[in-house]
Amino acid sequence: MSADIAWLIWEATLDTMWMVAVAMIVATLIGIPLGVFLATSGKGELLAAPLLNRVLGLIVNATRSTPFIILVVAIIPFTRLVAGTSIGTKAAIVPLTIAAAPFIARLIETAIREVDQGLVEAARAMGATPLQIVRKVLLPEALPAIVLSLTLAVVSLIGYSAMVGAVGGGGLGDLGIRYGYQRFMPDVMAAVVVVLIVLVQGVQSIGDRLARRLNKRVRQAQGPA
Amino acid sequence: MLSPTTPLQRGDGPLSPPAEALVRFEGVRKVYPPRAGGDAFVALDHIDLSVGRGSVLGVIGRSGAGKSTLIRLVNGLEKASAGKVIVDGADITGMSERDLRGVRRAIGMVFQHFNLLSSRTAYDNVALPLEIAGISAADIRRQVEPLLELVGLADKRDRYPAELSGGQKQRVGIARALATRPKALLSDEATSALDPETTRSILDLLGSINAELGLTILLITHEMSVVARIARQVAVLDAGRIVEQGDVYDVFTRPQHATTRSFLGAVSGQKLPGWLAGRLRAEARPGDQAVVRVVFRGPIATDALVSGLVKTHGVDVNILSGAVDEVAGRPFGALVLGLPADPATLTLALAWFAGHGLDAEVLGHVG
Repeated sequence: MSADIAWLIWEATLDTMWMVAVAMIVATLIGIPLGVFLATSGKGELLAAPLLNRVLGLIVNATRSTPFIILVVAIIPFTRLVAGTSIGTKAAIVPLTIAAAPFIARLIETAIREVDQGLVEAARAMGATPLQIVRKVLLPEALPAIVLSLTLAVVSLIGYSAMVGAVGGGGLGDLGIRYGYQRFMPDVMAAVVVVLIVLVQGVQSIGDRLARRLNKRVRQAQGPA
Repeated sequence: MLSPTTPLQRGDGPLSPPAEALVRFEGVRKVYPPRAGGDAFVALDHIDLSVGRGSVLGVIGRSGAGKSTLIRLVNGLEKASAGKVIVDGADITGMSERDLRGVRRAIGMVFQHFNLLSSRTAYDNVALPLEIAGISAADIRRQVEPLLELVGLADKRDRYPAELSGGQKQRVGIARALATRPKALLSDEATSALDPETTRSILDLLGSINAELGLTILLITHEMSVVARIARQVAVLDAGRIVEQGDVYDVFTRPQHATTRSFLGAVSGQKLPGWLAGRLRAEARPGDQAVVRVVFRGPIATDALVSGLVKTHGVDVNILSGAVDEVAGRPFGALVLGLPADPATLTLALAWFAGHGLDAEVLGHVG
């Protein structure tokens, strides 16, 4: 493999990481509040707003059931509005974000719902407001699960980012298709796959380790009691 | 059988003058709306109950009797469908969520499953209600340290709940419930998940908190031993109604309602041992013994009583079973005796017990 190709792979890796990082940050900023709301706004729940809950649930489901490649094409006008262009790596961030936000919201919703309702009751008995319950009970207690959810979302986004080559987005997937497949360079294809495996592996083990450290539910090995 | 709507009022009764009651239920009814395809469920009905300031009231009932609903009406976690719940002079039944939060900060609550935050250390769990009340970190420290001291966990302040035993977790729960210096403490089956030894130590802790801090305690439980150990007043709940209430000693030593009796069980001689119950018959046959239950309240030397009967009247006495217990700090027990079945001797023996102020009752005969 020539130095040029190695350079291409390096650049594509940076592109992928950049796309995934920006999309992930924005999607998390949308997904966490949305997920918390979905988990707490059902009928008779903490922030009960059943109608809004239903509407948001429908929007989330609609977005999640649209195949990513169709989503990318379908929202091109919106992408142009936000990114100023509809092609390139910058433009690719928009559909990635739109796809990831509802996914993250559902994961966060599940994580929040896993929190023992007894803790919510205890906080209510202390006179906590709904927002205090979210901030001081639900989010901290769900934190290990939230970290694992976000890890899963990063891994999925790395996968999605391979498809944005369809709109001229760069990154590893795009490189693999253009060089590895269209130009019959199986070594490039193999290199791309290896880099992707290393990326996913790295993200997963960082996420796992962080979640384990945050999880105080299991007794951890410490000094003498 | 007693009418379920008119609970027996026993001893001095819990209906102390209104000004003295910290928590008062007046004709409270709680109905849960029907679920799909079902009927509305009446969880509580005709509840009239007072918890005097500084007193310990135990509500005992089986699961499903409405205990959990009852205790949650006090801090507004459940809302009454009818009637009034008055806490510290204020009717909380019509209160907004906002006003209720103020009421809740003046009432501590401990739970069967502790409900501690797994992500917080013992210290931070106790600090939580203070954080919620918006108290500064410095003031929180000043209050939390002595509380951990009080419950005997000063050395565990940085431990997470997962690193604590059940009893230690409940101590954290109690310290947390006391953090906002409440007037009342609600105990929701606080010892039901603990072993007997730990249960005793937790109940003793609650008892000393009641005595030293003058904290009013309302506890719900399905265990008679819990009520007997720390409560002074008791209400027996059955199918959403209070069937008997009053002074613990009176209710437990002279139970009137079947539910109350079933809670007392073998501990106080209300229930005969199986081998005896199975052989008991109403009619005496020649050579049978009469089975007599003698219930004693207060400090009476039982051996002297039995040997007195033997010596003074020459009656053969056979002790079949016996139990002595402590109820509300006073001894209480029952002896089941086998006595000669001939009417003259039996009358003599019963008169002897009556003469010593004891209730004696012929239960039947065994061969």
